[in-house]
Amino acid sequence: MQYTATGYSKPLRRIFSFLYQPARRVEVEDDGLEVLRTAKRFESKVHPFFEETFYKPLSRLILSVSQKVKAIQTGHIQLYLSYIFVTLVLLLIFLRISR
Amino acid sequence: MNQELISSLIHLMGMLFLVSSFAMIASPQLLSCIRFYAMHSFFLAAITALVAYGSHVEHLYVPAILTLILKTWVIPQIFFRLIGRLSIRRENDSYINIPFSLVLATFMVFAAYYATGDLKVLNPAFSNEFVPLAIATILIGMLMMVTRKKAISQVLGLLLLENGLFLMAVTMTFGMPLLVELGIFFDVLVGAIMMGIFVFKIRDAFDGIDTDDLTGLKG
Amino acid sequence: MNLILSIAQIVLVLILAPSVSWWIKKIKALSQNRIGPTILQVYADLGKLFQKGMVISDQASWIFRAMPYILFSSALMAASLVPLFFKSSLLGFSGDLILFVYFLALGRFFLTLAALDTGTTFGGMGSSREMALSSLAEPALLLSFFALAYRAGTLSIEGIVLHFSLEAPFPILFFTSMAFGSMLIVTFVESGRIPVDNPATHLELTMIHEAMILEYSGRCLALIEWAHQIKQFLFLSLLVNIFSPWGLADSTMGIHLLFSFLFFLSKIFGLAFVIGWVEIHTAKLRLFRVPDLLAIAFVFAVISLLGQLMIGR
Repeated sequence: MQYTATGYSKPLRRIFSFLYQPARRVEVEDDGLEVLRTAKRFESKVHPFFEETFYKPLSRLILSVSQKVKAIQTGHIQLYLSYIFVTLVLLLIFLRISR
Repeated sequence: MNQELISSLIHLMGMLFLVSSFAMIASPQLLSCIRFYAMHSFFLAAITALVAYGSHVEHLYVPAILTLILKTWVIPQIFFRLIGRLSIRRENDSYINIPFSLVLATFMVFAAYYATGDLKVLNPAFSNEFVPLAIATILIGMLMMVTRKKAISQVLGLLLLENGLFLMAVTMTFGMPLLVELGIFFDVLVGAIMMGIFVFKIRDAFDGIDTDDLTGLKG
Repeated sequence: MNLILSIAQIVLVLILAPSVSWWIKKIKALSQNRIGPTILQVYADLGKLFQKGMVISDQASWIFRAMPYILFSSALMAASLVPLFFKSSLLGFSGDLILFVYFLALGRFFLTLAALDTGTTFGGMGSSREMALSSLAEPALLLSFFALAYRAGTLSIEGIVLHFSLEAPFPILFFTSMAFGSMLIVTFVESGRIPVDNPATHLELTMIHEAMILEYSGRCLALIEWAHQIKQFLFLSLLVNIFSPWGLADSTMGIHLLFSFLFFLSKIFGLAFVIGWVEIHTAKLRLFRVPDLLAIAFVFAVISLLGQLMIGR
């Protein structure tokens, strides 16, 4: 029987359990007679600590900011050209003021 | 002719140049817009020839003649034929009405004079006055590109912008090297021809040359 | 001349590494009222393994065949960074403390991969335990290195050795000795000695290092054993040279070199005696108690570093 990844990481999960907070659940089914079990279920999961505290808030922030920035892309070419145009005029005036 | 006469002639041409760019942006019909473009290019060619004569820069005669032929005659003819075959509406198409666009064009001229009016250029052609004029023409050309719906009007704005650049090149540096100018002329001519061809293709593919349909391309 | 001496240092590492294992075995035997092996026995064991043929499973991949060479060469490269009885090492440069740790990590990485390669459960068990323990031991080692580097003002091992050899003999520096404690615990982990892992066990469920090399035989096994002994020797010589470096030769005159070599040998065997003494008098810890020991090492290293940064001494 080969070592699986879950088994390989078991010592690490146990040593760093304050970080990973593993949770396990065992369910046993039987027909009333305790000696004869008909089914058994095992579930083990690890709380995704780093995703919840670091990656998800960061990606949510970036997505919300980019939703708002999306408003400058309307599809009209003239609007894009007018961005360049207004920047150019303002730049000329600003250069003159700063001289 | 002495220098003073030439200088005042050049100033007259410059003023007519500015007036025709106003006329271009204010014309309600497409055909008259093209005619004003032809007039604009004529004045440009006149300024170039006068500068060539007055400063004894012989090689500027070639661009002057080229401007006269290409921009005053050939390109407007291409446009006229295009309009005839496309049978588009000859009404002008703009997002803003004519008085407002005139106000904006005036503002552009003021901005150009404010920003560059007191620049001292070394070796100017008869005066420093043409730098703000050229920049004002460029800005009016960009204004035209920004506020028009149809592709033909946008290309006319581009050509106006290119005229302004040419004026700046002629009066500040007495023209660029001849080869560069020939290249630019060739570019403009080919650009106009290509635009003619592509407008047909676009209309065949998309049943119209209105750029409003591009608004579907957004995130 | 420097170059010849530095190469001679590496050759000496190769020759002397098995003898430290012999010394510890001898001490343990004597404490159990046995006679123990002669010094030729360890070399004869290596020689015997070199002559034997190898049995390699058909299912093993190239990692299984390549690992002994990678482990041995990474141990040799790490050896070229450590000065022994002469003040400079062969390839030392600024920042080579980190490279030292990474060479050993490279060897360990391939060792754990090769243990998984044959598909036996014991290999998987050994490599998962090794990875769990080394993920705690390496930070402790690096932090104590950084504490020493901060004190010495340089990031190279030979620079640290030189700095400590120029200070007056036997001052008790509190924070530096905490780094000594941390590195001593890491030495036990890296050489697989009794508080952490029993090197003489034959029960697979108690093995860590031995479980990873169960499938090896012949020349590959000889190289792995030798690399393990070299690693142990390197840790001992680091401890000796950093924390009691007096007597290190800094000139190339023959008599100085001879004297410093003998002094160095006596210090190594003295420290190996201490390790043997600890092996005799303690029992192997349960696997999940070893992280507590390593946490002590880590805390020592952190106190050493922070203490140096904030208080100094």
